[in-house]
Amino acid sequence: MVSNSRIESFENRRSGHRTVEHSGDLAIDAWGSDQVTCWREVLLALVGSFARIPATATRTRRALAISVRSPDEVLVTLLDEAIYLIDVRFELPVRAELALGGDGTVSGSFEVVPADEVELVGPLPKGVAYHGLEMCEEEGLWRCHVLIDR
Amino acid sequence: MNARLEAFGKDAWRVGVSEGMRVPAVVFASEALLERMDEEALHQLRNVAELPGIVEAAYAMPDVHSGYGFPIGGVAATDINAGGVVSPGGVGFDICCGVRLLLTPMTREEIAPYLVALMDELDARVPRGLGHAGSWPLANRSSLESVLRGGVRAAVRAGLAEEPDLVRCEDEGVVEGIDISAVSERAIERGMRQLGSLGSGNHFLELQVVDAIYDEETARAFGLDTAQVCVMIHSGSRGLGHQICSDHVRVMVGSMQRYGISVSDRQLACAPVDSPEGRAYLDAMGAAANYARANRQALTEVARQAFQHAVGTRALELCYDVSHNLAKLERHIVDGEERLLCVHRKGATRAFAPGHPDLPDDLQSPGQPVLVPGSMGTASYVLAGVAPGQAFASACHGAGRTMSRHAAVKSVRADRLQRDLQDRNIVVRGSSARGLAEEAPSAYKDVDEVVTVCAHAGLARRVARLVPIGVVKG
Repeated sequence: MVSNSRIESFENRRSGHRTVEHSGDLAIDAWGSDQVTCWREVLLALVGSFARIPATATRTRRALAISVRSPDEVLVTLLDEAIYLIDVRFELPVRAELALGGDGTVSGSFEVVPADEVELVGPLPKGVAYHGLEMCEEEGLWRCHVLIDR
Repeated sequence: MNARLEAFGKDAWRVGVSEGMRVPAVVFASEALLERMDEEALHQLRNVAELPGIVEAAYAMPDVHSGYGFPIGGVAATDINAGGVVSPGGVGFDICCGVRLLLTPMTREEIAPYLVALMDELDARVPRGLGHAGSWPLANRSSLESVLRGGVRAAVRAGLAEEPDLVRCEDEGVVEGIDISAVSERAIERGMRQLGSLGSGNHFLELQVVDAIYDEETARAFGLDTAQVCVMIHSGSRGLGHQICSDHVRVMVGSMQRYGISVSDRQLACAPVDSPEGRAYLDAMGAAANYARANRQALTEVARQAFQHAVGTRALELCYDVSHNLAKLERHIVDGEERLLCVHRKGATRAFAPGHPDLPDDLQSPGQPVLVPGSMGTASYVLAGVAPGQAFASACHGAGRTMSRHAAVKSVRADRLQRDLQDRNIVVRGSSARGLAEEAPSAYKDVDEVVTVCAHAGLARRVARLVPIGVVKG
């Protein structure tokens, strides 16, 4: 069961995200009408936790292919890919276009902006934990919970 | 207080074996610390007690708080010759995160006229934040590989360390003989530009002053004197260590079934130490440990250069460098018999007693220095190992969080915190306002209480207390 503790409430929306209490580090809850929306919301929460993106920031695309199949493994891989771009390429993946293939794999792209065009407001994400990781469908809504080490 | 905990000694509490636990869970805490201990940390400690091959007990240090899988402040040892496992989650993401303490030849009074200029110099020179390359530029992949194999010795070859820096570093600065093929391409890529950088979160470089000495003889042996200025550096293996942890947790999640292992939490994924997966992780972890120590060494050189520029001396002598996130193969007596154990210390510091054969000659008499950083703006401590010790010669690693980072941001105003630190004559060179608020002292346990419990419970003895006069936040 994904946590219901509320810090920033977007409960009435069909998709959204919030960061929740965890003494270890950053915990994200996200939800959407389908898996793709849920994954995209997690990405928004991740980037929003440490950066403010100006509307004028230069945007380019980076291709993405995820071969794992279970929804929670896709979630971990997506976030690992995002952290890799931040850490190595100094690019922030501010948005993801994702398509779910018939075999459960995911392809698409990240929209990225250069780090030197954003305002940093918090510690950078460094790793994704399996502890507490959940992604499931409940009453027609996909929900997930994930912890990020910083 | 948790009803399942039974007192069994001074500041020591035990949860008996039940529901899949192979050994009891033991918490070192005063009643006051126990009251503030989060329930999740105890739950995680009980899960650790289920690990195959675990011996004696799953231990929690006085600064324990919940983490991912393992509690932060947890110690667990497994018997290698009895199918004992190694768990990357028992080391944590930031492999070999640790602390080093540098001794300066100056007193608080002597450094006062230079303090602001020195802090400005450190602020400009200490790499931190996104997009800032580390202070140790690596020409190519083979340069990084020599760091992964050589640790601080590679820094000596690069002119960033002096021979005495090796002696006063845990493992003399290098985990020897490791096979770096277990380090992934991604980890290599993440390590290339970050060597010699502080990182964010709770990492810091602080100027501190010795304001109390509890054990004159040991303090003298460690090179500590009243009013002396020191530099404390808290950092780890940066993105490289995180990538290694992620890579090997994933491998072990996939391989556990083959070894007939099941765990209550996927972050506790593990493999027998004596298995291809176990050996690969220990090799990669050793490479990350070498990287982390080289990283702290490179930051030491930055501090020496800043001192040279602002104060006119670069005589910063290493007191000690010790990790608080590592798994080590060590020999300990269990049930009257010496056994080779894989000791996981996740947010816990090794604390060897006087006379331990792995300590350098000049630390044989006083024992190993245990460096305990306080939260930002509060006291830090130097402790020393004691005989017989507890929890496989382990002690605390810091104050320990009581408030999540999220809650800290909600309850602490960064500008007020900065003003409060200024009012106490602490010069802060921070990163983001949010980062500052997340590390506010009110989000942590009382470090004085934590080290007092360490002393009462026989984990380590107090040697000196240091207070900050300047903070460079990661």
